[in-house]
Amino acid sequence: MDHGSSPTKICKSVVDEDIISNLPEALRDKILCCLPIKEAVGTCLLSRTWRYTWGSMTELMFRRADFASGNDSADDDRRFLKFTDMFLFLHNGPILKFCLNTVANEMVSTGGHLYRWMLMLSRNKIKEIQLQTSIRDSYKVPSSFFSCDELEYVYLRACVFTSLHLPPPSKGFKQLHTLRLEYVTVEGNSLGDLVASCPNLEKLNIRGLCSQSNINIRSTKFKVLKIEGWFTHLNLHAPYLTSVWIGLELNSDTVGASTTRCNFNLSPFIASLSDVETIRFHGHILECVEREFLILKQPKLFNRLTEISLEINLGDLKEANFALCLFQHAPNLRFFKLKLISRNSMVPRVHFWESIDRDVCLFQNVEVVGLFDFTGSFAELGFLKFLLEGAPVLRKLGIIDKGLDRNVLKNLLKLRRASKDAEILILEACFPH
Amino acid sequence: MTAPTMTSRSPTSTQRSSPRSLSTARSTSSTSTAAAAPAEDLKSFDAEFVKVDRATLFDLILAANYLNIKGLLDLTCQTVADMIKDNTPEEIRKIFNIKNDFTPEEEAEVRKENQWAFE
Repeated sequence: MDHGSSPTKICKSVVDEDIISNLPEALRDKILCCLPIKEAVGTCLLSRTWRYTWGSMTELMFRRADFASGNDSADDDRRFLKFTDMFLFLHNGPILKFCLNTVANEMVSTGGHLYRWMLMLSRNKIKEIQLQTSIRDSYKVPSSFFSCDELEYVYLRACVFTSLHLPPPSKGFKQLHTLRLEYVTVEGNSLGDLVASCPNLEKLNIRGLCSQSNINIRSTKFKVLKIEGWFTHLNLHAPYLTSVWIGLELNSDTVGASTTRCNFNLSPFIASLSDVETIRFHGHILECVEREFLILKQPKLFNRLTEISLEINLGDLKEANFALCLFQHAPNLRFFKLKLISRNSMVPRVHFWESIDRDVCLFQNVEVVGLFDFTGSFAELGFLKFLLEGAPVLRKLGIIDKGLDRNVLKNLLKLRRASKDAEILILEACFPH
Repeated sequence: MTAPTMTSRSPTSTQRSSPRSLSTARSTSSTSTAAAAPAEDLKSFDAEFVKVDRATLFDLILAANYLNIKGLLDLTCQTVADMIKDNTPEEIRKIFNIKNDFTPEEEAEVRKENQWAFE
Protein backbone atom coordinates (compact mmCIF):
# COMPACT_ATOMS: atom_id res chain seq x y z
CA MET A 1 0.00 0.00 0.00
CA ASP A 2 1.37 3.35 -1.02
CA HIS A 3 0.99 6.00 1.67
CA GLY A 4 2.81 8.54 -0.46
CA SER A 5 -0.08 9.89 -2.59
CA SER A 6 -2.74 11.89 -0.86
CA PRO A 7 -5.91 9.93 0.05
CA THR A 8 -8.19 12.15 -2.05
CA LYS A 9 -6.25 11.38 -5.22
CA ILE A 10 -6.59 7.62 -4.67
CA CYS A 11 -10.28 8.00 -3.83
CA LYS A 12 -11.01 9.82 -7.03
CA SER A 13 -9.36 7.31 -9.35
CA VAL A 14 -11.06 4.42 -7.63
CA VAL A 15 -14.51 5.99 -7.59
CA ASP A 16 -14.40 6.45 -11.35
CA GLU A 17 -13.52 2.87 -12.06
CA ASP A 18 -15.98 0.34 -13.41
CA ILE A 19 -15.33 -2.39 -10.88
CA ILE A 20 -18.42 -4.46 -11.54
CA SER A 21 -17.63 -5.22 -15.16
CA ASN A 22 -14.17 -6.43 -14.18
CA LEU A 23 -15.33 -8.87 -11.56
CA PRO A 24 -14.64 -12.52 -12.33
CA GLU A 25 -17.37 -14.05 -14.45
CA ALA A 26 -18.54 -16.35 -11.68
CA LEU A 27 -19.26 -13.36 -9.47
CA ARG A 28 -21.09 -11.43 -12.17
CA ASP A 29 -23.12 -14.57 -12.73
CA LYS A 30 -23.91 -14.71 -9.04
CA ILE A 31 -25.06 -11.09 -8.97
CA LEU A 32 -27.33 -11.67 -11.96
CA CYS A 33 -28.81 -14.73 -10.29
CA CYS A 34 -29.93 -12.44 -7.43
CA LEU A 35 -32.00 -10.33 -9.83
CA PRO A 36 -35.48 -11.07 -11.16
CA ILE A 37 -34.80 -12.87 -14.39
CA LYS A 38 -36.29 -10.22 -16.65
CA GLU A 39 -33.94 -7.59 -15.23
CA ALA A 40 -31.04 -9.98 -15.49
CA VAL A 41 -31.66 -10.20 -19.24
CA GLY A 42 -32.02 -6.41 -19.29
CA THR A 43 -28.34 -6.05 -18.42
CA CYS A 44 -27.57 -6.97 -22.03
CA LEU A 45 -27.95 -3.28 -22.84
CA LEU A 46 -25.30 -2.05 -20.41
CA SER A 47 -22.15 -2.53 -22.44
CA ARG A 48 -20.41 -5.00 -24.74
CA THR A 49 -19.05 -6.88 -21.74
CA TRP A 50 -22.54 -7.36 -20.42
CA ARG A 51 -24.23 -8.25 -23.68
CA TYR A 52 -24.19 -12.01 -23.16
CA THR A 53 -23.44 -12.33 -19.45
CA TRP A 54 -27.09 -13.18 -18.80
CA GLY A 55 -26.81 -16.04 -21.30
CA SER A 56 -24.47 -18.01 -19.09
CA MET A 57 -26.38 -17.70 -15.82
CA THR A 58 -26.25 -21.00 -14.01
CA GLU A 59 -29.18 -20.62 -11.63
CA LEU A 60 -32.52 -19.71 -13.10
CA MET A 61 -35.74 -18.74 -11.37
CA PHE A 62 -38.84 -18.14 -13.47
CA ARG A 63 -41.67 -16.61 -11.50
CA ARG A 64 -45.05 -16.18 -13.14
CA ALA A 65 -45.95 -13.54 -10.54
CA ASP A 66 -43.30 -11.22 -12.04
CA PHE A 67 -45.32 -11.10 -15.26
CA ALA A 68 -48.57 -9.93 -13.72
CA SER A 69 -49.54 -6.77 -15.54
CA GLY A 70 -52.93 -6.30 -13.94
CA ASN A 71 -54.64 -6.84 -17.26
CA ASP A 72 -55.53 -10.02 -19.03
CA SER A 73 -54.24 -13.01 -17.10
CA ALA A 74 -54.19 -15.25 -20.18
CA ASP A 75 -52.03 -12.70 -21.95
CA ASP A 76 -49.65 -12.64 -18.98
CA ASP A 77 -49.48 -16.45 -19.15
CA ARG A 78 -48.60 -16.23 -22.81
CA ARG A 79 -45.86 -13.66 -22.19
CA PHE A 80 -44.41 -15.71 -19.36
CA LEU A 81 -44.30 -18.88 -21.45
CA LYS A 82 -42.81 -17.05 -24.41
CA PHE A 83 -40.16 -15.43 -22.23
CA THR A 84 -39.16 -18.75 -20.68
CA ASP A 85 -39.07 -20.48 -24.06
CA MET A 86 -36.90 -17.75 -25.63
CA PHE A 87 -34.61 -17.52 -22.64
CA LEU A 88 -33.87 -21.23 -22.69
CA PHE A 89 -33.47 -21.13 -26.47
CA LEU A 90 -30.84 -18.40 -26.33
CA HIS A 91 -29.17 -19.53 -23.13
CA ASN A 92 -25.66 -20.75 -23.62
CA GLY A 93 -23.95 -22.89 -21.05
CA PRO A 94 -24.70 -25.27 -18.18
CA ILE A 95 -27.82 -24.76 -16.12
CA LEU A 96 -27.26 -26.00 -12.61
CA LYS A 97 -30.48 -24.87 -10.97
CA PHE A 98 -33.92 -24.41 -12.50
CA CYS A 99 -36.78 -23.06 -10.43
CA LEU A 100 -40.27 -22.42 -11.63
CA ASN A 101 -43.01 -20.74 -9.65
CA THR A 102 -46.45 -20.83 -11.23
CA VAL A 103 -48.34 -21.56 -8.07
CA ALA A 104 -51.30 -19.32 -8.74
CA ASN A 105 -51.81 -20.19 -12.41
CA GLU A 106 -52.41 -23.40 -14.29
CA MET A 107 -50.34 -23.43 -17.40
CA VAL A 108 -47.72 -26.11 -17.50
CA SER A 109 -49.80 -29.21 -18.12
CA THR A 110 -51.16 -28.06 -21.47
CA GLY A 111 -49.10 -26.88 -24.41
CA GLY A 112 -46.14 -29.14 -23.79
CA HIS A 113 -43.92 -26.38 -22.42
CA LEU A 114 -42.82 -28.37 -19.42
CA TYR A 115 -41.80 -31.29 -21.62
CA ARG A 116 -39.62 -29.09 -23.81
CA TRP A 117 -38.04 -27.37 -20.81
CA MET A 118 -37.32 -30.68 -19.11
CA LEU A 119 -35.76 -32.01 -22.30
CA MET A 120 -33.52 -28.98 -22.48
CA LEU A 121 -32.53 -29.31 -18.83
CA SER A 122 -31.67 -32.97 -19.27
CA ARG A 123 -29.07 -31.90 -21.83
CA ASN A 124 -27.58 -29.29 -19.50
CA LYS A 125 -26.18 -31.13 -16.48
CA ILE A 126 -28.97 -29.86 -14.24
CA LYS A 127 -28.39 -30.38 -10.54
CA GLU A 128 -31.42 -28.87 -8.89
CA ILE A 129 -35.00 -28.67 -10.10
CA GLN A 130 -37.79 -26.95 -8.20
CA LEU A 131 -41.14 -26.88 -9.96
CA GLN A 132 -43.52 -25.06 -7.69
CA THR A 133 -46.57 -25.47 -9.86
CA SER A 134 -50.22 -25.14 -9.04
CA ILE A 135 -51.79 -28.18 -7.40
CA ARG A 136 -54.54 -28.04 -10.00
CA ASP A 137 -51.95 -28.26 -12.76
CA SER A 138 -51.52 -32.01 -12.71
CA TYR A 139 -49.02 -33.52 -15.16
CA LYS A 140 -47.32 -36.83 -15.84
CA VAL A 141 -43.62 -36.64 -15.06
CA PRO A 142 -41.81 -36.26 -18.42
CA SER A 143 -39.57 -39.16 -19.35
CA SER A 144 -36.68 -36.76 -19.99
CA PHE A 145 -36.71 -36.02 -16.26
CA PHE A 146 -35.20 -39.44 -15.70
CA SER A 147 -32.31 -38.59 -18.01
CA CYS A 148 -31.11 -35.80 -15.73
CA ASP A 149 -28.29 -37.87 -14.31
CA GLU A 150 -26.67 -35.18 -12.21
CA LEU A 151 -29.73 -34.24 -10.18
CA GLU A 152 -29.07 -33.66 -6.50
CA TYR A 153 -32.22 -31.89 -5.31
CA VAL A 154 -35.74 -32.24 -6.66
CA TYR A 155 -38.99 -30.55 -5.67
CA LEU A 156 -42.11 -31.40 -7.65
CA ARG A 157 -45.79 -30.75 -7.16
CA ALA A 158 -49.00 -32.15 -8.50
CA CYS A 159 -47.36 -34.74 -10.69
CA VAL A 160 -48.15 -38.35 -11.42
CA PHE A 161 -45.61 -41.15 -11.17
CA THR A 162 -46.35 -44.40 -12.93
CA SER A 163 -44.28 -47.54 -13.08
CA LEU A 164 -44.39 -47.65 -16.82
CA HIS A 165 -41.92 -44.93 -17.60
CA LEU A 166 -39.52 -45.29 -14.69
CA PRO A 167 -35.99 -46.25 -15.67
CA PRO A 168 -34.56 -49.59 -14.49
CA PRO A 169 -32.94 -49.46 -11.02
CA SER A 170 -29.48 -49.54 -12.55
CA LYS A 171 -30.07 -46.21 -14.20
CA GLY A 172 -31.36 -43.87 -11.54
CA PHE A 173 -30.32 -40.63 -9.93
CA LYS A 174 -26.94 -41.49 -8.50
CA GLN A 175 -26.37 -38.07 -6.91
CA LEU A 176 -29.86 -37.33 -5.67
CA HIS A 177 -29.84 -36.57 -1.95
CA THR A 178 -33.16 -34.78 -1.41
CA LEU A 179 -36.53 -35.49 -2.97
CA ARG A 180 -39.49 -33.34 -2.06
CA LEU A 181 -42.92 -34.10 -3.47
CA GLU A 182 -46.25 -32.44 -2.85
CA TYR A 183 -49.69 -33.59 -3.88
CA VAL A 184 -48.36 -36.41 -5.99
CA THR A 185 -50.26 -39.39 -7.22
CA VAL A 186 -48.31 -42.59 -7.20
CA GLU A 187 -49.33 -45.65 -9.17
CA GLY A 188 -48.09 -49.08 -8.29
CA ASN A 189 -44.81 -49.18 -6.46
CA SER A 190 -43.28 -46.46 -8.62
CA LEU A 191 -42.27 -44.53 -5.51
CA GLY A 192 -40.48 -47.55 -4.05
CA ASP A 193 -38.81 -48.25 -7.38
CA LEU A 194 -37.69 -44.64 -7.68
CA VAL A 195 -36.19 -44.72 -4.18
CA ALA A 196 -34.45 -48.00 -4.98
CA SER A 197 -32.77 -46.41 -7.98
CA CYS A 198 -31.34 -43.53 -5.92
CA PRO A 199 -28.52 -45.00 -3.84
CA ASN A 200 -27.62 -41.73 -2.12
CA LEU A 201 -31.07 -40.45 -1.28
CA GLU A 202 -31.01 -39.18 2.29
CA LYS A 203 -34.06 -37.02 2.58
CA LEU A 204 -37.53 -37.91 1.34
CA ASN A 205 -40.33 -35.48 2.05
CA ILE A 206 -43.82 -36.19 0.72
CA ARG A 207 -46.89 -34.16 1.46
CA GLY A 208 -50.30 -34.91 0.05
CA LEU A 209 -49.40 -38.39 -1.16
CA CYS A 210 -52.18 -40.22 -2.95
CA SER A 211 -51.80 -43.94 -3.44
CA GLN A 212 -54.03 -46.96 -3.57
CA SER A 213 -51.41 -49.60 -4.18
CA ASN A 214 -48.69 -51.22 -2.19
CA ILE A 215 -45.78 -48.89 -1.49
CA ASN A 216 -42.60 -50.62 -0.48
CA ILE A 217 -39.74 -48.32 0.48
CA ARG A 218 -36.40 -49.67 1.54
CA SER A 219 -33.28 -47.63 2.12
CA THR A 220 -30.21 -47.81 4.26
CA LYS A 221 -29.27 -44.24 3.47
CA PHE A 222 -32.34 -42.35 4.58
CA LYS A 223 -31.78 -39.82 7.32
CA VAL A 224 -35.02 -37.86 7.14
CA LEU A 225 -38.36 -39.26 6.06
CA LYS A 226 -41.71 -37.55 5.92
CA ILE A 227 -44.77 -39.15 4.37
CA GLU A 228 -48.12 -37.47 4.73
CA GLY A 229 -51.18 -38.23 2.76
CA TRP A 230 -53.62 -40.93 1.93
CA PHE A 231 -52.29 -44.42 1.33
CA THR A 232 -53.60 -47.92 1.88
CA HIS A 233 -50.47 -50.04 1.99
CA LEU A 234 -47.12 -48.86 3.24
CA ASN A 235 -44.13 -51.00 3.94
CA LEU A 236 -41.11 -49.11 5.27
CA HIS A 237 -37.62 -50.20 6.07
CA ALA A 238 -35.11 -47.47 6.83
CA PRO A 239 -33.12 -48.37 9.92
CA TYR A 240 -30.77 -45.39 9.94
CA LEU A 241 -33.32 -42.64 10.04
CA THR A 242 -32.76 -39.75 12.41
CA SER A 243 -36.13 -38.16 11.83
CA VAL A 244 -39.39 -39.82 10.83
CA TRP A 245 -42.78 -38.23 10.27
CA ILE A 246 -45.74 -40.29 9.09
CA GLY A 247 -49.20 -38.82 8.75
CA LEU A 248 -52.21 -40.69 7.45
CA GLU A 249 -55.20 -38.73 6.34
CA LEU A 250 -58.69 -40.01 5.82
CA ASN A 251 -59.98 -40.31 2.34
CA SER A 252 -62.87 -37.87 2.22
CA ASP A 253 -65.12 -40.67 0.93
CA THR A 254 -64.70 -42.63 4.11
CA VAL A 255 -65.18 -39.84 6.61
CA GLY A 256 -67.42 -41.27 9.28
CA ALA A 257 -66.20 -44.83 8.74
CA SER A 258 -65.02 -46.36 11.98
CA THR A 259 -61.57 -47.43 10.91
CA THR A 260 -59.31 -46.64 8.02
CA ARG A 261 -58.21 -49.85 6.41
CA CYS A 262 -54.53 -49.17 6.11
CA ASN A 263 -51.73 -51.69 6.20
CA PHE A 264 -48.61 -50.25 7.67
CA ASN A 265 -45.79 -52.32 9.16
CA LEU A 266 -45.60 -50.08 12.21
CA SER A 267 -44.04 -52.55 14.68
CA PRO A 268 -41.18 -53.92 12.59
CA PHE A 269 -40.51 -50.45 11.23
CA ILE A 270 -40.11 -48.88 14.66
CA ALA A 271 -38.25 -51.87 15.99
CA SER A 272 -35.63 -51.41 13.26
CA LEU A 273 -34.91 -47.77 14.05
CA SER A 274 -31.79 -47.46 16.17
CA ASP A 275 -30.49 -43.90 15.92
CA VAL A 276 -33.76 -42.08 15.55
CA GLU A 277 -33.94 -38.65 17.16
CA THR A 278 -37.41 -37.44 16.27
CA ILE A 279 -40.60 -39.42 15.79
CA ARG A 280 -43.88 -37.93 14.59
CA PHE A 281 -47.02 -39.94 13.94
CA HIS A 282 -49.97 -37.83 12.90
CA GLY A 283 -53.43 -38.23 11.51
CA HIS A 284 -54.88 -41.70 11.75
CA ILE A 285 -51.65 -43.63 11.54
CA LEU A 286 -51.87 -44.96 15.09
CA GLU A 287 -55.04 -46.78 14.20
CA CYS A 288 -52.75 -49.19 12.38
CA VAL A 289 -51.24 -50.35 15.65
CA GLU A 290 -51.63 -54.08 16.05
CA ARG A 291 -53.48 -55.53 18.99
CA GLU A 292 -50.43 -56.83 20.80
CA PHE A 293 -47.82 -54.25 20.16
CA LEU A 294 -44.51 -55.64 21.29
CA ILE A 295 -41.99 -53.06 20.30
CA LEU A 296 -38.89 -55.13 20.73
CA LYS A 297 -37.97 -58.69 21.52
CA GLN A 298 -34.78 -57.71 23.25
CA PRO A 299 -34.46 -54.67 25.55
CA LYS A 300 -33.11 -52.20 22.97
CA LEU A 301 -33.42 -48.52 23.78
CA PHE A 302 -33.79 -45.47 21.56
CA ASN A 303 -31.00 -43.60 23.24
CA ARG A 304 -31.01 -40.72 20.82
CA LEU A 305 -34.73 -40.18 20.74
CA THR A 306 -35.38 -36.72 22.17
CA GLU A 307 -38.59 -35.61 20.53
CA ILE A 308 -41.92 -37.34 19.99
CA SER A 309 -45.14 -36.00 18.51
CA LEU A 310 -48.27 -38.16 18.34
CA GLU A 311 -51.87 -37.79 17.35
CA ILE A 312 -53.38 -40.26 19.74
CA ASN A 313 -56.48 -41.46 21.52
CA LEU A 314 -55.31 -42.02 25.07
CA GLY A 315 -58.46 -43.92 25.88
CA ASP A 316 -57.85 -46.57 23.24
CA LEU A 317 -56.04 -49.55 24.71
CA LYS A 318 -53.96 -50.32 21.63
CA GLU A 319 -52.82 -46.74 21.16
CA ALA A 320 -52.16 -46.19 24.86
CA ASN A 321 -50.07 -49.34 24.93
CA PHE A 322 -48.10 -48.14 21.94
CA ALA A 323 -47.38 -44.77 23.55
CA LEU A 324 -46.31 -46.48 26.76
CA CYS A 325 -43.94 -48.76 24.88
CA LEU A 326 -42.43 -45.79 23.14
CA PHE A 327 -41.93 -43.88 26.39
CA GLN A 328 -40.44 -46.93 28.05
CA HIS A 329 -37.79 -47.21 25.36
CA ALA A 330 -36.88 -43.51 25.19
CA PRO A 331 -34.82 -42.76 28.30
CA ASN A 332 -33.48 -39.49 26.87
CA LEU A 333 -36.78 -38.05 25.75
CA ARG A 334 -36.82 -34.30 26.35
CA PHE A 335 -39.79 -32.93 24.51
CA PHE A 336 -43.07 -34.45 23.41
CA LYS A 337 -46.45 -33.30 22.27
CA LEU A 338 -49.73 -35.13 21.94
CA LYS A 339 -52.69 -34.10 19.87
CA LEU A 340 -55.52 -35.74 21.73
CA ILE A 341 -58.31 -37.47 19.91
CA SER A 342 -61.39 -38.94 21.44
CA ARG A 343 -62.38 -41.17 18.59
CA ASN A 344 -64.25 -44.18 19.88
CA SER A 345 -66.53 -43.15 22.65
CA MET A 346 -67.93 -46.68 22.84
CA VAL A 347 -64.73 -47.99 24.38
CA PRO A 348 -65.22 -48.52 28.13
CA ARG A 349 -63.28 -46.36 30.56
CA VAL A 350 -59.71 -47.47 30.56
CA HIS A 351 -57.86 -47.56 33.86
CA PHE A 352 -54.71 -48.05 31.86
CA TRP A 353 -52.62 -45.16 33.08
CA GLU A 354 -53.56 -45.62 36.71
CA SER A 355 -52.46 -49.23 36.74
CA ILE A 356 -48.93 -48.75 35.48
CA ASP A 357 -46.11 -49.56 37.85
CA ARG A 358 -44.93 -46.27 39.31
CA ASP A 359 -41.53 -47.57 40.43
CA VAL A 360 -39.93 -46.97 37.09
CA CYS A 361 -39.58 -43.27 36.37
CA LEU A 362 -40.56 -43.00 32.74
CA PHE A 363 -40.11 -39.33 31.99
CA GLN A 364 -36.70 -38.86 33.56
CA ASN A 365 -35.44 -36.23 31.15
CA VAL A 366 -38.65 -34.73 29.88
CA GLU A 367 -38.56 -30.96 30.06
CA VAL A 368 -41.37 -29.66 27.90
CA VAL A 369 -44.72 -31.23 27.08
CA GLY A 370 -47.62 -30.01 24.97
CA LEU A 371 -51.13 -31.47 25.11
CA PHE A 372 -53.41 -30.23 22.35
CA ASP A 373 -57.21 -30.45 22.23
CA PHE A 374 -57.31 -31.46 25.85
CA THR A 375 -60.84 -32.23 26.98
CA GLY A 376 -60.20 -33.45 30.48
CA SER A 377 -61.55 -36.92 29.79
CA PHE A 378 -60.93 -39.75 32.21
CA ALA A 379 -58.09 -41.23 30.22
CA GLU A 380 -56.49 -37.85 29.61
CA LEU A 381 -56.53 -36.92 33.28
CA GLY A 382 -55.14 -40.35 34.09
CA PHE A 383 -52.27 -39.78 31.70
CA LEU A 384 -51.67 -36.29 33.08
CA LYS A 385 -51.42 -37.67 36.61
CA PHE A 386 -49.03 -40.35 35.38
CA LEU A 387 -46.90 -37.75 33.60
CA LEU A 388 -46.70 -35.24 36.44
CA GLU A 389 -45.76 -37.88 38.96
CA GLY A 390 -43.05 -39.31 36.75
CA ALA A 391 -41.31 -36.23 35.32
CA PRO A 392 -38.75 -34.94 37.83
CA VAL A 393 -37.24 -32.27 35.56
CA LEU A 394 -40.37 -31.06 33.85
CA ARG A 395 -40.26 -27.32 33.23
CA LYS A 396 -43.28 -26.51 31.12
CA LEU A 397 -46.52 -28.28 30.44
CA GLY A 398 -48.77 -26.55 27.94
CA ILE A 399 -52.40 -27.59 27.82
CA ILE A 400 -54.24 -26.22 24.82
CA ASP A 401 -57.97 -26.69 25.04
CA LYS A 402 -61.21 -25.23 23.84
CA GLY A 403 -62.51 -24.40 27.26
CA LEU A 404 -62.35 -26.62 30.32
CA ASP A 405 -65.02 -26.80 32.96
CA ARG A 406 -64.41 -26.10 36.61
CA ASN A 407 -64.35 -29.76 37.65
CA VAL A 408 -61.57 -30.57 35.28
CA LEU A 409 -59.58 -27.58 36.45
CA LYS A 410 -60.12 -28.61 40.06
CA ASN A 411 -58.85 -32.09 39.30
CA LEU A 412 -55.86 -30.63 37.49
CA LEU A 413 -54.86 -28.51 40.46
CA LYS A 414 -55.08 -31.48 42.78
CA LEU A 415 -52.47 -33.45 40.84
CA ARG A 416 -49.15 -33.92 42.54
CA ARG A 417 -45.96 -32.98 40.67
CA ALA A 418 -42.56 -34.61 40.91
CA SER A 419 -40.85 -31.52 39.54
CA LYS A 420 -40.82 -28.39 41.64
CA ASP A 421 -40.07 -26.28 38.57
CA ALA A 422 -43.04 -27.47 36.57
CA GLU A 423 -45.24 -24.71 35.13
CA ILE A 424 -48.63 -25.69 33.85
CA LEU A 425 -49.89 -23.27 31.23
CA ILE A 426 -53.48 -23.51 30.10
CA LEU A 427 -53.86 -21.87 26.73
CA GLU A 428 -56.89 -21.32 24.57
CA ALA A 429 -56.79 -22.92 21.14
CA CYS A 430 -56.65 -19.93 18.87
CA PHE A 431 -54.04 -20.68 16.27
CA PRO A 432 -53.03 -23.83 14.41
CA HIS A 433 -50.05 -25.81 15.71
CA MET B 1 -15.12 0.01 13.46
CA THR B 2 -12.96 2.54 11.63
CA ALA B 3 -13.64 3.10 7.94
CA PRO B 4 -11.47 0.84 5.82
CA THR B 5 -8.79 2.53 3.76
CA MET B 6 -9.13 2.89 0.04
CA THR B 7 -7.34 0.24 -1.90
CA SER B 8 -6.04 -0.22 -5.40
CA ARG B 9 -7.60 -2.76 -7.68
CA SER B 10 -4.96 -5.40 -7.26
CA PRO B 11 -5.50 -8.98 -6.13
CA THR B 12 -4.09 -8.03 -2.75
CA SER B 13 -7.07 -5.73 -2.20
CA THR B 14 -8.94 -8.73 -0.85
CA GLN B 15 -6.40 -8.98 1.92
CA ARG B 16 -7.02 -5.39 2.87
CA SER B 17 -10.71 -5.80 3.51
CA SER B 18 -10.15 -9.16 5.10
CA PRO B 19 -9.86 -7.86 8.67
CA ARG B 20 -13.38 -6.37 8.50
CA SER B 21 -14.94 -9.36 6.85
CA LEU B 22 -13.02 -11.86 8.98
CA SER B 23 -14.14 -10.35 12.24
CA THR B 24 -17.71 -10.27 10.94
CA ALA B 25 -17.47 -13.82 9.70
CA ARG B 26 -16.48 -14.88 13.17
CA SER B 27 -19.32 -12.94 14.76
CA THR B 28 -21.94 -14.04 12.24
CA SER B 29 -20.93 -17.66 12.49
CA SER B 30 -21.08 -17.48 16.26
CA THR B 31 -24.47 -15.75 16.18
CA SER B 32 -25.76 -18.45 13.89
CA THR B 33 -24.93 -21.09 16.47
CA ALA B 34 -26.19 -19.02 19.43
CA ALA B 35 -29.83 -19.80 19.99
CA ALA B 36 -30.79 -16.38 21.27
CA ALA B 37 -30.02 -14.12 18.25
CA PRO B 38 -33.39 -12.91 16.94
CA ALA B 39 -33.94 -12.76 13.20
CA GLU B 40 -34.64 -9.01 13.14
CA ASP B 41 -31.38 -8.20 14.91
CA LEU B 42 -29.43 -10.26 12.42
CA LYS B 43 -31.26 -8.63 9.54
CA SER B 44 -30.53 -5.11 10.73
CA PHE B 45 -26.94 -6.10 11.46
CA ASP B 46 -26.63 -7.34 7.89
CA ALA B 47 -28.24 -4.18 6.53
CA GLU B 48 -25.86 -1.95 8.47
CA PHE B 49 -22.88 -4.06 7.54
CA VAL B 50 -23.33 -3.46 3.84
CA LYS B 51 -23.84 0.28 4.19
CA VAL B 52 -20.45 0.97 2.75
CA ASP B 53 -19.21 2.69 -0.37
CA ARG B 54 -19.24 0.73 -3.58
CA ALA B 55 -15.52 0.08 -3.69
CA THR B 56 -15.58 -1.51 -0.26
CA LEU B 57 -18.64 -3.50 -1.20
CA PHE B 58 -16.81 -5.04 -4.14
CA ASP B 59 -13.80 -5.66 -1.94
CA LEU B 60 -16.11 -7.57 0.39
CA ILE B 61 -17.47 -9.61 -2.50
CA LEU B 62 -13.99 -10.55 -3.64
CA ALA B 63 -12.88 -11.31 -0.07
CA ALA B 64 -15.95 -13.44 0.64
CA ASN B 65 -15.38 -15.32 -2.60
CA TYR B 66 -11.69 -15.86 -1.94
CA LEU B 67 -12.24 -16.93 1.67
CA ASN B 68 -15.29 -18.98 0.69
CA ILE B 69 -17.70 -17.36 3.15
CA LYS B 70 -21.07 -18.19 1.65
CA GLY B 71 -23.26 -16.02 3.90
CA LEU B 72 -21.23 -12.91 3.27
CA LEU B 73 -21.04 -13.59 -0.45
CA ASP B 74 -24.82 -14.03 -0.68
CA LEU B 75 -25.44 -10.85 1.29
CA THR B 76 -23.04 -8.67 -0.68
CA CYS B 77 -24.14 -9.98 -4.08
CA GLN B 78 -27.77 -9.41 -3.19
CA THR B 79 -26.89 -5.86 -2.14
CA VAL B 80 -25.33 -5.17 -5.53
CA ALA B 81 -28.32 -6.79 -7.26
CA ASP B 82 -30.63 -4.49 -5.29
CA MET B 83 -28.70 -1.52 -6.71
CA ILE B 84 -29.34 -2.80 -10.23
CA LYS B 85 -32.98 -3.66 -9.69
CA ASP B 86 -35.69 -1.30 -10.91
CA ASN B 87 -33.20 0.95 -12.72
CA THR B 88 -32.91 1.72 -16.40
CA PRO B 89 -29.66 0.76 -18.16
CA GLU B 90 -28.59 4.42 -18.15
CA GLU B 91 -29.14 4.69 -14.39
CA ILE B 92 -27.26 1.45 -13.80
CA ARG B 93 -24.34 2.68 -15.88
CA LYS B 94 -24.23 5.84 -13.81
CA ILE B 95 -24.22 3.96 -10.50
CA PHE B 96 -21.43 1.62 -11.50
CA ASN B 97 -19.45 3.82 -13.90
CA ILE B 98 -20.05 1.44 -16.79
CA LYS B 99 -19.06 2.93 -20.10
CA ASN B 100 -21.58 2.46 -22.86
CA ASP B 101 -19.37 1.16 -25.65
CA PHE B 102 -22.22 0.18 -27.98
CA THR B 103 -22.56 1.96 -31.27
CA PRO B 104 -26.15 3.01 -32.02
CA GLU B 105 -26.40 0.18 -34.57
CA GLU B 106 -25.13 -2.37 -32.06
CA GLU B 107 -27.56 -1.19 -29.43
CA ALA B 108 -30.45 -1.44 -31.89
CA GLU B 109 -29.36 -4.98 -32.74
CA VAL B 110 -29.27 -5.98 -29.07
CA ARG B 111 -32.77 -4.62 -28.59
CA LYS B 112 -34.03 -6.57 -31.59
CA GLU B 113 -32.28 -9.75 -30.52
CA ASN B 114 -33.83 -9.59 -27.07
CA GLN B 115 -37.15 -8.01 -27.95
CA TRP B 116 -38.94 -10.86 -26.18
CA ALA B 117 -37.41 -9.75 -22.89
CA PHE B 118 -38.69 -6.21 -23.12
CA GLU B 119 -42.29 -6.99 -23.90
